[in-house]
Amino acid sequence: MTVPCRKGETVKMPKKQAFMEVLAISLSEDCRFPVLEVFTFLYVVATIFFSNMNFGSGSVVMFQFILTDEALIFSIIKGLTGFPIFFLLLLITKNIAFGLGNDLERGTMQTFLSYPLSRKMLLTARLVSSVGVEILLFLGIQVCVLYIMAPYLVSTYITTIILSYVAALCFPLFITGVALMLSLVLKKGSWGLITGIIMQFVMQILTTIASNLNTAGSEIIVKISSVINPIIALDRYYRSSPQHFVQEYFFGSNIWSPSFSEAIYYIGAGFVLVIFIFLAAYLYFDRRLEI
Amino acid sequence: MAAVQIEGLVKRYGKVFAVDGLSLTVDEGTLLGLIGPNGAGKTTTIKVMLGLLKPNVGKVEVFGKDPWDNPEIKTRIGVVYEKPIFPVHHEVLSYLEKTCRIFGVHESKAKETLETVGLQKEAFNRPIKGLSAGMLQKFAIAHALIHEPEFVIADEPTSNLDPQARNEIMNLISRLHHDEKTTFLVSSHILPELSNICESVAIINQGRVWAQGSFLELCEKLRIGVTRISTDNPQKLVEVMGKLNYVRKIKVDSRGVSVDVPEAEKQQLYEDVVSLAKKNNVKISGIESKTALLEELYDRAVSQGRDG
Repeated sequence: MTVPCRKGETVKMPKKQAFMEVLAISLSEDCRFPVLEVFTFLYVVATIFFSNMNFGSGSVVMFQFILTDEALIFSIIKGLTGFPIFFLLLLITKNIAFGLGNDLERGTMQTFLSYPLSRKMLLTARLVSSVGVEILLFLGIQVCVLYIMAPYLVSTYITTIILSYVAALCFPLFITGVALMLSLVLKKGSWGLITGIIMQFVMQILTTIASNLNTAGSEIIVKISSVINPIIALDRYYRSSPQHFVQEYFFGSNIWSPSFSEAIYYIGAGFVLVIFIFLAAYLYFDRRLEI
Repeated sequence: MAAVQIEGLVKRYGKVFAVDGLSLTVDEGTLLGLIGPNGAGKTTTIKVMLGLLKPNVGKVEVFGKDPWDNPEIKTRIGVVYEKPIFPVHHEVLSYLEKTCRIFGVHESKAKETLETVGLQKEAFNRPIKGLSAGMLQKFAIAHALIHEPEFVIADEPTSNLDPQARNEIMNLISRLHHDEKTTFLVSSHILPELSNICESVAIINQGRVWAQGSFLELCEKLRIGVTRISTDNPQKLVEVMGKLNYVRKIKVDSRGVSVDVPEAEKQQLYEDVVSLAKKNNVKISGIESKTALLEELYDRAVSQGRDG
């Protein structure tokens, strides 16, 4: 696209350059020393700690005789992602709250909107900085640790690994979407942060309740939970949790267990929700948000 | 050609009308002052021009385009916000260099522009959050001018500044307008500083433009021409002159007594002042007829608008 400059000539609009510069500005605000360094340390320590538990005296040794190889891989990844994903969620919601939310609350967004950049591109730059880079860092550390600990597993069961991480990231992305939407509508980042943390704990409680109700014969809550957090459906498919084993083999309970294609549908449904909420946020920012 | 064309703009916040049927034109090459009290609708109008707010009703065009959907017009506009907010952890020069790259301008322009606005060299490598209010305002102006825009919108550019900094900013705007032929829209409620630099003004109140034009045009349109009387006893003179039935307005200010009378009554006024002064033993040291001050134009426009 070309625009006239003051000397009457037309100049090429620096769209791509503007995007990259706004991204750079956002990154240096979101990932200011020592935030990213502290979280990288936490990811590494938590990942190595849990990988050690899994590969050492943990579930791999305990359940390797009763689980399939794929279930074992899934179980290991579930263990690896436990605490680091909570740190990831903290970092992302912090960025949404104190980055994007603060931009709206304090007025920095007005400055960004004075640049020749569409609202969609501006939001994309802010989200790549607040969410994208953090997820890449998380996945990078996780996959590196997994590869160092068990290179043969990574090369043999790459599909299971990808599927497990995709399922594991669905719920954090859903919370991110909700936090983003709240920050945009209320123009207050702190609400996004609070909601994100509360949702994380509510989901933990809901999963436990769903699991207990499922044992007692009710499947509906566990199915609803699986849409929001499809790692539950994948977990049920692989029957990787010790409780499944205990319930089924010792007490004879019939726990809901989806087929592989059903588990994929749950992951798909989870991402449809995520896409819907991000799409709503984009539309709101592009068409409605007044600053 | 008009840089900005607004017709029948209405902007509501819930049930409150911030702007109510406002029409305004900013011609290219002018320095227009947008004046009005707090809450008159100045900032809302500016925000609509910048595509930050959507009008409820009305048409807003900046360089012939809707500002909400056309970010490319931002290459032709510079903005100085009332409270300039930047990512505060960046250093002044470094942030301005990034802004250069955003607009596709050579980075050397950053230093040059900071020098043009008169920001001290020692502030160049300071974080933005370490700038004083005056320095921040100068930085905001440099940020707005970095890409040599054709049109600069400055919303209350001197608010929160001391008188010296105010003068510097206003002189800078005036200099840029004359030297670079940049179109300026400067909003303010501090009238004396605008009267020094603006060629024309738009008086805005209760969400509408009540009068727009050059000072001379407005004086004619609002039928205002003030006579100033220098005297040793202004209070006494005001008291006795208040009884003259053709006097529209009379007040005491630092310059003496200002009297607003219809043009046709001016000769009569001179005669009456001399006779009343003699009768009441008041000494008159001078009488002069002048074009109105911006404050007087503003008062008249607002009172005429209120009276319909």
